[in-house]
Amino acid sequence: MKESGWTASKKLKRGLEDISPLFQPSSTQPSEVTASRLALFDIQFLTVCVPDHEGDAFLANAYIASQVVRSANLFASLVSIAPGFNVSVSKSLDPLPSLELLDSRISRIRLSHQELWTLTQTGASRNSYQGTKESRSPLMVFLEFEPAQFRSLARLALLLDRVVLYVQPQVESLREAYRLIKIFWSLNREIEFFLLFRGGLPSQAQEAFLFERFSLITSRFIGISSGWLGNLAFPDKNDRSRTASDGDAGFSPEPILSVEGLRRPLSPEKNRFRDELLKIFDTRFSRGFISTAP
Amino acid sequence: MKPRIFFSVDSRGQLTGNFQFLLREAVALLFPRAIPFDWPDRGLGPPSSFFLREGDSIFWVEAASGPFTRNHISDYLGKARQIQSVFPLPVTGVLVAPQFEAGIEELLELIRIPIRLFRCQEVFPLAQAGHLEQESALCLEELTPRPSSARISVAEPTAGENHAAEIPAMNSSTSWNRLSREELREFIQFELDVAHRPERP
Repeated sequence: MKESGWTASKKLKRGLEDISPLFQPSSTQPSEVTASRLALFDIQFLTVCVPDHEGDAFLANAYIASQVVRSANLFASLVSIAPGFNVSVSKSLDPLPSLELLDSRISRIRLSHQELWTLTQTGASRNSYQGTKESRSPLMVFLEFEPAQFRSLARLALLLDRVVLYVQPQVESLREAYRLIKIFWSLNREIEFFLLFRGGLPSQAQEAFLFERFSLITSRFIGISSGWLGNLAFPDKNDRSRTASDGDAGFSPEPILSVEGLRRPLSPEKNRFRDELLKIFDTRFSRGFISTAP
Repeated sequence: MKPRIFFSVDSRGQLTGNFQFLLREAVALLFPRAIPFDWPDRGLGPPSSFFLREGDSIFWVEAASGPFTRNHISDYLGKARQIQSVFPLPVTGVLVAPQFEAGIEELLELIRIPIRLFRCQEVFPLAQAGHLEQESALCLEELTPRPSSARISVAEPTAGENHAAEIPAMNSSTSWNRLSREELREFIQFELDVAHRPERP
């Protein structure tokens, strides 16, 4: 998608190690801060979309995941879905998709469209996967995908609890966010939407004005109220004087860490997807990856 | 005698001449007392825009290579806002496009400068008029009403060309992935609100 010339920001092309110290092998892990007001969920499905910068959704999901696990005692799993991921279940001797560990609390699974379809098809006689008997920490599943790559977002939309729209604090970007909200909302009326500004404005009053004005539009035309997570800048790779935490002062992840607003019980599609994910985790890590909650 | 401007097309009917150059000539005929004006911001210069000055008035000419739809409004609004912010004198927008989406005038009224719409008429061969076969004419027809004249053109339009060649308006009930006119209007107003909002300490 196009940005106007005088407001264009840098294209976000960098590696995982550049967006958070969590992905740097030698870095010191940040001290964990458990959100005191956090009402824990067992699992939630979320995606971070960058509607005004096509191509950045994958990094944005990884970045927000890294920020979220710093704020709360939970695990994040990035589920990357793209046409190019052809790790076909049927062609492999291993029936489960591969899983890589990006951090002790962040994993990534790559799925092709077909695999996603297979994993989310509901079977009438299926029993819910019980898995290990140990209690689990909350699991936040980040569905990574580029909306523009999908001719139909219907199946993905059905899997989502929440959508974070990570946009520049400007009207043009908000219009693209609104357009995406309309699409998701037309496919799943249970999704909660949140705005997160990619970088702040000189004053919080200006940011608040943008959010409130945007909320008026979503309320008037779609009939929903969106949440606001503040602002969070991508760290600049070339600016070595900045640390990854410098840009997160305005980031307030509490609304997406809360159980409030999540529609439960899970829909059949989400339930099936949850079962398959837990099965993958248990098989791959044999209780070592998903540890017991404290 | 109405002025005509000629440019060349190849055997497949594709433009081979310098359209911007010819457009400048056409617009110069529309505003004969105006002189070219070099805009200080090169980001707004050719090929997308150029400027003419007549006394204390500026004509900002913007040519769209294809149909001008509601999706182009945001970019156009951004340019208009930039021009307004750096130039204190009255500016008139001259927007040229082969087609305009129905209802676009209404949306453009939200931009706080007067805008005149000109349809760049379909290129037509002039062989029958005694010109070379490869030559065609550029015809600009004003779609916005003017106090003095209903239409300005720089070539003789052929029969039937005066019928509006508008793109059908979007059906808001079925365009669930596009913005309706009301929604787009709201976002334009939003942009104007942001632009005119006083900075708070």
